[in-house]
Amino acid sequence: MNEAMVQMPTVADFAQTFRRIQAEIHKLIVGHHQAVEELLIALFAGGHVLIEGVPGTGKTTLVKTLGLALNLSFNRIQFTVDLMPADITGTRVIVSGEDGRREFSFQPGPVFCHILLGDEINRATPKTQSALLEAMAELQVTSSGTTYALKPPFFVMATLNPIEMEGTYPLPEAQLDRFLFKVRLNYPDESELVKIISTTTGPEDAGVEPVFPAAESAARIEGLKHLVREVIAAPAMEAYAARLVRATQPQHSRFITNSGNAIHDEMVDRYVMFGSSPRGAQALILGAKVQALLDGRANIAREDLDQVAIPALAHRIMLNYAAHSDAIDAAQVVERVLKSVRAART
Amino acid sequence: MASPTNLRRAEEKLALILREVASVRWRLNSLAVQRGVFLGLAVVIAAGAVIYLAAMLLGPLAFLSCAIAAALALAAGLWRSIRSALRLSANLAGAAQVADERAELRGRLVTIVEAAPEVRSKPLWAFLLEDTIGRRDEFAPGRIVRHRISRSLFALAGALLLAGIAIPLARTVHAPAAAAISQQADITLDLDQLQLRPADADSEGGLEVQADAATMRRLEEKLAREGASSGAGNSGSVDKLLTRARSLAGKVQSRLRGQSADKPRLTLKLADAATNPDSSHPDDNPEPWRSGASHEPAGQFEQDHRDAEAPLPAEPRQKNREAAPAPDDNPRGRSETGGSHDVPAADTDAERRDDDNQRADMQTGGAASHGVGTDPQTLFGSQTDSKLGSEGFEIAIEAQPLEHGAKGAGRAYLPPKVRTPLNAHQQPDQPVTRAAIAPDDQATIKRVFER
Repeated sequence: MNEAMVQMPTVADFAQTFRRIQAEIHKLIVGHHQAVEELLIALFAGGHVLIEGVPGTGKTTLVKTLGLALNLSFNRIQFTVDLMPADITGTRVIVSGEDGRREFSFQPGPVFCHILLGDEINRATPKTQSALLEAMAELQVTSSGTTYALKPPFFVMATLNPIEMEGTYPLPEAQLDRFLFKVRLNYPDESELVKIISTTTGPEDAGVEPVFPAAESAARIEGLKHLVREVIAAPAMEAYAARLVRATQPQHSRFITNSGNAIHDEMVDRYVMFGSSPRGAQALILGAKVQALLDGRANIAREDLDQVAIPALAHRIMLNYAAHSDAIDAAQVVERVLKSVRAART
Repeated sequence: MASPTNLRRAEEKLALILREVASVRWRLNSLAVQRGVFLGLAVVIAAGAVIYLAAMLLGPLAFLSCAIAAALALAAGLWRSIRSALRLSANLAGAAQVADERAELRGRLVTIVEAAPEVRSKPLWAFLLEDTIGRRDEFAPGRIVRHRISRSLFALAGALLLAGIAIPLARTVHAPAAAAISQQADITLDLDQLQLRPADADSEGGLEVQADAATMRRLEEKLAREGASSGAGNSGSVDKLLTRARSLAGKVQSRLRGQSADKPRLTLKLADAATNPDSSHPDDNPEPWRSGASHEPAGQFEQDHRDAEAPLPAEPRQKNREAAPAPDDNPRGRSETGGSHDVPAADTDAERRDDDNQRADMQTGGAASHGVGTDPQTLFGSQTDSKLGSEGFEIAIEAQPLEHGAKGAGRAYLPPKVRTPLNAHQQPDQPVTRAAIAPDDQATIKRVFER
């Protein structure tokens, strides 16, 4: 089916589709309700997700299940230290034509898909990691001077293992900033663990049914993404998002020259080296738009912004040594910022 | 693309929503104005009541402190009430935000109000309007702003109640003290026990001092001594400041108590027991002292509460002195009375002993009072309206009866301590035999002696 033939979905369609996809994923994924919701919000907001979780919490399974539910092409790259950029983007190889002549031809890498899982992305070298940058930001790959467009929807999910840090290369800030959300997969509680055991050690896996037919899946998802962009954001809400992002910057940051009317919190000043970039505000608004549609609204509210603030801003905040020594993480800082901005509003 | 009909319907819905929001805004602003007015009035009334209460019940310095505190509280209260009113007031977007929060509309109204001009062509605009109009009952003005009268009316009522209790209470408590002061006819003070301080430069004359030259000289000397001692101290500037503060507070208190801005004229008559030959006549002293200088009365004082315009009977004394014959040169025939005015001061112990002898003679000689001012001819002479103080000089000094002084201190009679011998031209008074006095004259005599 042609993409143009797909009608623009309604607000009700969006919420219904979203819940259906969620339900399919939860056939295999036990618990992680918030993580799954945030993952889907990022998908429909047109962003990429960084998933952080200890081994065995279902990171890879989650991504696979999402691919199955959406009925989209899915690739997985296991990042290792010897992984090369060409292993991701593709390379030119010599192929023989029908007439017997040999010529260079571009062999697309695993990045040419709809859903890409970069498993343990921090194990690859920065050079390889940055190979994903262009694809993530511009939906295109350049190889040997030739640019190849990626087919939308293109959704990157990279996983991070927060325990094994030996032999890893922490993601550069620029690359971290390109992920719309950072989703944390927490260790399951006992009841969830029991359910995981029973569903994964039986004779058959629960079958995940695609929500869309394969032929129109991409178009439907793009339609839903387009609807998200149509959600109305009042100037007051945009101002609120901007205030939130500004409040993540420490007061005397040497990178901020005009912090006159920004709201400052003592915790931010003490523990934050550098706050969120402007991409954080974009992530807030886009995430809030999806939240609004899920709530059956055509407008965003402050509650929507508050709800997506931690996944949208936490990974963009660089903490200093004092924060590490005091065991303060970025999510705590964002929560504090939310409180400060709310208090300043009233 | 939306049809014209749909666009028109959308506009109608938008107008309906905006009308409701405008109504909410009107109610909010009405409450804001009420809040500002009621709270402001409440603060003013409460502060006024506290100041009035303090003026009635407290001393000048305590009143001043209380008044300053009340004024500061008043300023802070007014600022807060204005600020709270401004905070409560709202523009259209603000009213929409309030309605959103109170009706839990999750930003629908504020989005419509703020984004209406730009987003009318968006596909979700019609959905937003339809969704919002479907919740019209939830943001009806009556539900969003339930009260038409601000609750700050209770604060105003409380302040009025406070004032209603405080003002009569203060008057009730203050009335006996005020009556006591007004009835205080005479104050007798000892010059040596007075503490003199410089008067304020801007203090008005409310007092006149009459005395013979010797007493005035003593007063002057004492003033000089007190002035020197106060100037030598380190606390001179603080005293001056306190004096000014006390004076200012006193003025304000007087006004709040309903007393006239013009101080009642107090006449302090400085009297001595004996006549000083050098300055027996008050006119001899050319120094008219006014309240601009620093003075306190010395010797024996009599205080008269009079209006400034009230004539003072001054002539009889002068006439008496001119007309009274000098019977003989016997100084022992002289005596003194408590109400006598022109008595010279004694300087030596011998003279004091002589004075004691004269008193003894007076007691044995009969009950009739005699001496200057008690001559029967003067007593029974025709009354005159001329001012008593005109025969001498007047000194206006800053003094006022204090409510909190030592008990009875202002009323104690202190006999004169000094006197001087008669000079060659003076004759001692002779005891006067008691004569029958006409009933009409008795009242006059009594009135004169009561002074």
